[in-house]
Amino acid sequence: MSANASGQFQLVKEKGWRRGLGNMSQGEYSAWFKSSRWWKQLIIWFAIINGMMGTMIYATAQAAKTGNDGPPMFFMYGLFGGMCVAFGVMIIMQRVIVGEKRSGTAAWVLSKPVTRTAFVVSRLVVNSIAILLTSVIVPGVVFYISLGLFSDLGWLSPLGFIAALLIFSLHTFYWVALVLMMGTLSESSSVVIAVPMTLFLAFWMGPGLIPGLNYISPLLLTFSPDPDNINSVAASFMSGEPVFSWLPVISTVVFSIIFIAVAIWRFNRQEF
Amino acid sequence: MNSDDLVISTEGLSKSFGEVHALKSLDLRVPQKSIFAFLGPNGAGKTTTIKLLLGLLKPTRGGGKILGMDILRESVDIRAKIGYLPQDPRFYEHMTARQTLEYTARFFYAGPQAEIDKRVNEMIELVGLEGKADRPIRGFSGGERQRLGIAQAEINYPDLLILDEPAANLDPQGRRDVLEVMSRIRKYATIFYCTHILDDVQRVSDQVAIVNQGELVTQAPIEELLAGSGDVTYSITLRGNAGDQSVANAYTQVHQQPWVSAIEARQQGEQTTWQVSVTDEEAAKDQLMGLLVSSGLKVSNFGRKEQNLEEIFFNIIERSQK
Repeated sequence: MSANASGQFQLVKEKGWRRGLGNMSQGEYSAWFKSSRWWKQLIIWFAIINGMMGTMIYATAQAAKTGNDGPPMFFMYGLFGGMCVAFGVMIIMQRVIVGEKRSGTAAWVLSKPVTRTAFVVSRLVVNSIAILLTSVIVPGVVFYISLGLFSDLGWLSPLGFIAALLIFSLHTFYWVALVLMMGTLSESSSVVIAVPMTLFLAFWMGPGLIPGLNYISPLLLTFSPDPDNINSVAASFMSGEPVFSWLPVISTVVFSIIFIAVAIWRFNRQEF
Repeated sequence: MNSDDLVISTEGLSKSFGEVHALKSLDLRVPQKSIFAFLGPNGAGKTTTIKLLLGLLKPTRGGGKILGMDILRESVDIRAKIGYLPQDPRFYEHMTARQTLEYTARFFYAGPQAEIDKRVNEMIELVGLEGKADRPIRGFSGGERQRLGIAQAEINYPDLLILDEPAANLDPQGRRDVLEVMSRIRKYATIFYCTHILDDVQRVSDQVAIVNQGELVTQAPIEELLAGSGDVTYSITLRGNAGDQSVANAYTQVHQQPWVSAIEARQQGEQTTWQVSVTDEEAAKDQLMGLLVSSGLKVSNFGRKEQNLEEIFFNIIERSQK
């Protein structure tokens, strides 16, 4: 630093790959939580998940009056809290890295004393936390309370429901990591969104053609395309039934790690 | 020059994008505390060089050092000691100018907050953004973004300031302010900058390098460059037509002098203009005017031609393309 610099400053102490991580994370955090973004997302997910599940609870109560079964509650929750959130993640995350590469802000930030690994990690961590809070945790807790207060299912086991929320979180994180990785691999927002959507549809329809695909499908964590035969992992936790297989959980964790590793590897080789 | 006196030094720095060789074996030497102008036509490799120095691009071959640190292995440490203004500064649109400067400062300083706030205010004042400091950047004009770019580049008291077209998008007053800021900073930092505005280069720079088609064409102190390659040129305006006998005789007589290397004659209406290049300035001073007068010519203008950077630049670029 030059001679006229004030000695009053405390220098940033981050070393190694963490250089710049704190400030970039703080910047991402501000973009989410010091703007209207977080509560807009919260309202959207509250409307989608809790609005639909409220309707389901009401429909179940009405069906019970006539002696009929209501809609499968856990399946529906898996559909809205799993499938809808996965598509939501693709939309929310599609510009996270690509947008910064294309607008030039990534090049600007990378001209400061930061590592590229810290850049990717800051985007991953803060967006994951924000998306999980607004689309999984808060709507999940509201759903849990709604079930307890207004449905015949009553109060579910808190531990089982927390485990289910963790599974929902893992499922959401998988899509966050995948879209983030695509952002480092491509310069096009369309590609970034198209590849995860194609993969999603493959997991949705593929097990009919390739039965073993269910065992590595992240979809099976939150909802089952074939609920008559297989319960999703989250539904099993909520209903207290045994999980049909841990393989989908393990493969989702493994693939999430691979996506993050590829994203970091690729971003470190990117030119700006 | 001792390598310790160099802020930037590159050895064979090269960059290719597929078949396109954007930079071909650049050997650059930027001395400390200089204002170093890096010139060249569009696509010459200036921005590529800057991006290589900053670690935004990786060299195909060669390498370099900034402040004694390797541009490949110690890029993050280098960036902790420099400031950079991109050619087209882009910031987070939702942030205000103040937030952008604080965000930038936080890459270097963990605190204390009061000192960071003070530095941010100094920078806002320096670039004249007081009235707009708390407005989101999305409403900023190109010139205001440029000013903010200069402020963020300087916020960490850099030892080296790298500016890519610092006066682009600025009105004349903004341009003057930027030159003033550069002159002020030179007391404690080295400035390496690209520009197309050659007047500015002549006003503030003390070292110049010119690149063309990815190759370094010349690098020299500005005085040396302005002094030319050794030949001095006299510009002479004569009354009369080039075809007149007296003018033709004088032309022959002057051309025969051993210290005259070339005469470029041009007819402009009733006047003839000669650009007389001489190898011995003293001899020219003593004899050239006398020769013209003794030939009976009416001289309406006589003087040593002052070189300007623009002419030198174009000459060098043209020569390098041949």
